[in-house]
Amino acid sequence: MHKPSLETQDDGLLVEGTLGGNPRCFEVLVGRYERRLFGLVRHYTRSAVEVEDIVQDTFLKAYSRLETFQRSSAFYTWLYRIAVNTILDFMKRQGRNPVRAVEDPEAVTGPRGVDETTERKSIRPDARLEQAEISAITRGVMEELPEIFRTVLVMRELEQMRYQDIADVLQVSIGTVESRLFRARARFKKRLLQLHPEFAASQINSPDKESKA
Amino acid sequence: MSPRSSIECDVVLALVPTFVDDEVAESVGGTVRRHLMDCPACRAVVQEEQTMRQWFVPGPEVDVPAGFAAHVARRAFAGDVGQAPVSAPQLEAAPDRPGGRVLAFSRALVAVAAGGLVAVTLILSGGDRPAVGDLDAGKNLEEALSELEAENLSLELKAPARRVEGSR
Ligand SMILES: [Zn+2]
Repeated sequence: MHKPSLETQDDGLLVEGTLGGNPRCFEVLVGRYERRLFGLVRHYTRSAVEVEDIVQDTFLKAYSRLETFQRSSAFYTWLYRIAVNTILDFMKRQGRNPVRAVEDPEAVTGPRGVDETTERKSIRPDARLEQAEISAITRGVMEELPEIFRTVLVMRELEQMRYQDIADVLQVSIGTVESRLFRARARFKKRLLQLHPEFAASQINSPDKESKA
Repeated sequence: MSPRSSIECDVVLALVPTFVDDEVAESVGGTVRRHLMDCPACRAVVQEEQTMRQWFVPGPEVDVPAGFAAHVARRAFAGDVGQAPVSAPQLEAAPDRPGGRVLAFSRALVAVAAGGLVAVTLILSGGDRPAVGDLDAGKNLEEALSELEAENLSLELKAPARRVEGSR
């Protein structure tokens, strides 16, 4: 009888197989998600060795806690949560963990915590820039953001995750994802304007003035 | 009659980020779209929000070392529970900062407490925020701060069990 290959099995069955003692099942799970985790972790360190260590650590932790994985939830969301915690842990131990998000409330202005002058300014990538150049600029700005903001931007903008999935990974409400993203984008834009004022376009008009005419 | 009359610019503006992220309910999205057809000012804000997204492009292809999955699976089944090694800079810095982690933790708690005060202030002064469609920044701020506090705690609680030597 033809046996379906492990590569095509769904995550739940591979988790079962792993718990049943089959290393190949776990290897397939790792192979399935390694690329996405490398993609995530590289936003936190430029060292390839560190990226590899963190991803490896994530999978080893996942394996050691596999029995706690709730089958009703998505394996990737669960794995991603371990990855984010591993990254945080790593950055903290490196003295690189800016839990500076707590500073934010003191630094903000305006009803939604956004610097109004920043919000009115437009900043767009120069049409002549290559994608790799845009990516490098963005990366440089992201590296200066507090981890709490960087994580939500990576998940939303680079991983294209839905709010609900981000909320599941971070174990927060969708409202928190929204407000965190909002503040993260404002911070990103502000820092981008500071680092690359050459990309600032003309100011956009205040909608309130125009629409109420 | 202008379709704009069914929804105010303030409401639309509060929805712009979630609208651009395609995360509003379909009925709300339809209302916003109708408003945008008739309101160049809000349309400009949406375009601006979309412009921001142009900065986020895929980076270079990710390099996963050959045989990574097999290597990790082997280690996992050999009983390795995982632990990223502490890099040299921190090992050098450690003797200068005995109890540094405790200090950092205390500082984080103080910062969280200070942030909490600000959050409470925001909540108390929140009466003048737009009532509809607003993200309720004050409440979320408080929530975010309590999460941060929890994150700090969980990290601190996990940390002491770690070995210092690398595991490779
Ligand atoms: Zn409008």
